[in-house]
Amino acid sequence: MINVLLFIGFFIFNVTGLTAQTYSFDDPEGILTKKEKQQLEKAIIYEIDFYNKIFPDDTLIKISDVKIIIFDKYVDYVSYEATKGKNVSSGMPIGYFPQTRDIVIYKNKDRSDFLNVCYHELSHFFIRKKMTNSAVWLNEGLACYFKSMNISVNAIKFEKRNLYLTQIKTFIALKDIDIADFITWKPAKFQQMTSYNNYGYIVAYCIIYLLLQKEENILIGMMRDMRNGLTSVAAFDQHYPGGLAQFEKDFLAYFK
Amino acid sequence: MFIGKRTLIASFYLLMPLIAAAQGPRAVTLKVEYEKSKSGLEYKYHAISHDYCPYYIVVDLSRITNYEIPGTKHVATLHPGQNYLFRLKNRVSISSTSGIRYSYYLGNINAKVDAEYRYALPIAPGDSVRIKHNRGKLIFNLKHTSDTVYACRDGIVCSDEFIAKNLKGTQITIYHKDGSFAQYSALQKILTQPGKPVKTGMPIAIVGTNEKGTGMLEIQFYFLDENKIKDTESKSKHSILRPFFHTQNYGYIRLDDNTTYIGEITDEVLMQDMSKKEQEQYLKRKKK
Repeated sequence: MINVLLFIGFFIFNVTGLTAQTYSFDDPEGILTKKEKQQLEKAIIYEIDFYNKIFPDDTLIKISDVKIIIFDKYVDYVSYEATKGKNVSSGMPIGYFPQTRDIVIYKNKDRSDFLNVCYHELSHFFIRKKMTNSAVWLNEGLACYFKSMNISVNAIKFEKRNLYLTQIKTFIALKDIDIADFITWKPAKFQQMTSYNNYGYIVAYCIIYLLLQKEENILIGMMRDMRNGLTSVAAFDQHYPGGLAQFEKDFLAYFK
Repeated sequence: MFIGKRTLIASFYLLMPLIAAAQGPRAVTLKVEYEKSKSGLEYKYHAISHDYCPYYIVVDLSRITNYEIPGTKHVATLHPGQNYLFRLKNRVSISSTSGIRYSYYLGNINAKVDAEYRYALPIAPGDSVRIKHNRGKLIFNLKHTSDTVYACRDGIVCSDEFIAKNLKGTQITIYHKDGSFAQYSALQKILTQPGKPVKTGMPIAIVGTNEKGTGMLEIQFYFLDENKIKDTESKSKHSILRPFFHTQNYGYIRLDDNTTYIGEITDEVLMQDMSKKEQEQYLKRKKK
């Protein structure tokens, strides 16, 4: 079994967001290229800063909290996950184990979006550290948002997910959007409906996309209150100008 | 005047529709042909559809040189039979037109899908069924193998290519008035034929069997999505529908997993696809 343990050391000198960092890598097998490592590091730092900024009052996530195990053979990846009692769904290149706090990645050379899937799953890892019972729309919406990161040497850009923005138009045309209902869905319902043109992921992504387009502080306020037990519906009513009803109107107008 | 008829074979590629076409027998559902004028300076193109359901064709003319072309792209909705497409006029001398490529998709891009249509359950009135969602399909767990499958909506049966066999059995595709399709699969026998109209509640097939020895019917509702046609990034050009059904015990509803529904066909359900005149005739006949 070829695996690489990647421990990343990280020292935070300034909790306001200006950070000095040092890293240490142990990657003798060279499964990730140098560029991929750099992109993954940047994604980790960016997402940590994002979640720490939302929840600055409690223990900050440190990059040393992150343990990544990488496989370059699918069979090894599946075996490892099986030892942890997890069934691997076909094609999923990454898994996360809350108990051991391991992120397990299979580098599928055939998937051009391999790193983007990593960014997606990293978001689940971080949100779980901050919100024990996050609403599925929030969890998946943020993960899909981070999946759209395009990381270069100098910048991180969020690419528009055009396929999602195309499909949401169809959902709207079919009058198949009910945000008030959607944000109450449990994971099982979310997964069930996602078999329809990726419904759950697309609507969740578009909600996050619109909230961040409007004003980042709305989402920040909602997440803080939702961690303290506020429902998704109440969080929209409390933080979105005009409440949930206005958000639904804005959503339809924006994506139509 | 046009002489000489050629079928365009070597220079095109096909993008098969999302769902069933790739599984069908290799019959040629659609052909693009041209006729050459006597002078040799003009070509008239048309498409011949052997299906009973419409197609949308996108012809890429961007690689054509030496001809006056109607634009770099020509699109059309194809109906059964021969459909005129466009003419090419030679600017200089006779040269090959082999730069033409086209893609076609099952469906009508101009159709306005009725998302609020009230579908009937594919079972006999009074019978019950439990359902599950799986990969965009509705799985109806019928009580017995060999149970009859009833049409959920009026429509026309698509060509042989869509009465295809897959690992789970035979399937059939029905085209509806609003441009949507219903693909019924996991069947053991088809009770209708390509080109035949079907009516809501009409027996159309016999269901196959699952591992438990009961009947398991799969239905997927879909349509050709204009938004996806316009979006070059979308590989699939069809979208899946989540239809509403009429049930005896829950009324007008989107079906949920692990719930038992009872079939019922009301006048309201039956008359949805009828014209006003047909509705009046239907109600008159019913009174008698």
